[in-house]
Amino acid sequence: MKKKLQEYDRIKSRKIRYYSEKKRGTERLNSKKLDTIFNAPILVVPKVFDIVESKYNDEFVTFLEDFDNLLKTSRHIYLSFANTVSAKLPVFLILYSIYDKYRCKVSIIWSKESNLVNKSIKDTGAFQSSSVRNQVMFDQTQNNIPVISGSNQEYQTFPDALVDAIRDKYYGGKIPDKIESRIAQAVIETLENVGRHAYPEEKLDFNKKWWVICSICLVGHKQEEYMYLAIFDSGQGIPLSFKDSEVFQSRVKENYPEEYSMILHGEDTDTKIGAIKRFVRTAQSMIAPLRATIGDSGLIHASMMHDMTRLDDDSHGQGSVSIKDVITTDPDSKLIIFSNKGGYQYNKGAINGNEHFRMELHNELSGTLLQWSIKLNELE
Amino acid sequence: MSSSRTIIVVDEFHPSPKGRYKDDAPGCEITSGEVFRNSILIKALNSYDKVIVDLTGYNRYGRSFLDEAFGGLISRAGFTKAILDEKLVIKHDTVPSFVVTANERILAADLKKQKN
Repeated sequence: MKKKLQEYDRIKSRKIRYYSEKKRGTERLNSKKLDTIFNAPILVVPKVFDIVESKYNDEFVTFLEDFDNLLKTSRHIYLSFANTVSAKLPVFLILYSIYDKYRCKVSIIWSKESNLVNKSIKDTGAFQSSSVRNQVMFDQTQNNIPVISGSNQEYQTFPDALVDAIRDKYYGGKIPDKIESRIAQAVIETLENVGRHAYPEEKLDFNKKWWVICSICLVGHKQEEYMYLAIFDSGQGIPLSFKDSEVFQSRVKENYPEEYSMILHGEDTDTKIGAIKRFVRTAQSMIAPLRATIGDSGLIHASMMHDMTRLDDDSHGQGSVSIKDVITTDPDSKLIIFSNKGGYQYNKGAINGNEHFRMELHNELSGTLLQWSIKLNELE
Repeated sequence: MSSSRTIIVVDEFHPSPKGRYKDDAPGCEITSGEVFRNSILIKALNSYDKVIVDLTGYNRYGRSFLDEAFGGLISRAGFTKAILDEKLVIKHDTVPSFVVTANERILAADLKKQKN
């Protein structure tokens, strides 16, 4: 009897120890203390989860680094949106690009501040596995397209599958031909650019990865339907692809002639040293001075400037035409691109007349994020 | 008597043509503009007085496919715009912008060739 009681005490004490360790505690990440729930660390999402507003500041970047480190070392973490007041859908693509690298379970602590934030999280797929999310795109009973991940391996099938899903989910199965063609062209040309330029060192198509999300939101006091479509790749970024593309180089030369000339020739245009400088100047060596003068935002801007008045342009670089073509004169119809340290917005119907808007970020984004906002009934 | 041939792209080439070059991505070796031009279009232009390319049936042609298939006739295959004006007709029954783009790319290739 005594022996049985001792054994019972031992089991009980083990249970108490187990559950006390499992309940809320703390864990260290670098020098930071993280709260835990049943030993799973809680990572707090920034209050404003938006690149435009945060300009990709240190807090934002540190959060992404912490997310990566935690996923690498944990089997289960909590992502707390409890204090998040705004979260932009396209930014989730960056988060999912990290999430998809690991096999860590992510549980969500929902926002107490904003129902819109919670809706956005659900729209993205609520951190389900990539295979579950990808299935939703083909499920006609579900009216959203969560974050889909894929690679250049799926270049043949994915663009058609995505446009089919847009047709079925957002246009009731009957998308007008002209709208279909414009959306399809933007998607196809973007993914083609990812395959061709984003991962120059990568040999395997499977590793040329991208993430896509497409969602419908109501905008403005008229609550008009807008489609938000975003594509992210974690490649080298547009500014760094300057060295790989003659079309890109000529567009920089056309749009920023003074800066380009100064970097190419230097101030001593007539001297022997100037001639030598010109001779040894390569596209690769021009990247750093161009980034320092016109900025990454200038390089992105130039990369998108197809000259429609000139027909004898290079056959390459046609993608930028299609990528901009879905933007209408509606003031809320916009194309926004973030790549490396630059941001560029194309807004054909900008109320302030600022069709091309540039901004520099505080930190460098590894890759390119393109997002379109398209008024559903405006494209015809 | 003049001979003519109509190429229904979605039937004779591929139901969803895509890509510029055959090595752009897996599958482009059978769907790209380069392959369409080399395997079907050039042969037809060399064999018939009139060639009608009917793009109808697919609404998702990329500009790079159109540029390589049609502009490439001048920039890579040695045709002149005069010959293409005489022999080639491009059509799409519901999205005329594809025809506009294809013809624009032919014109662009011609202007570029003249410049060089």
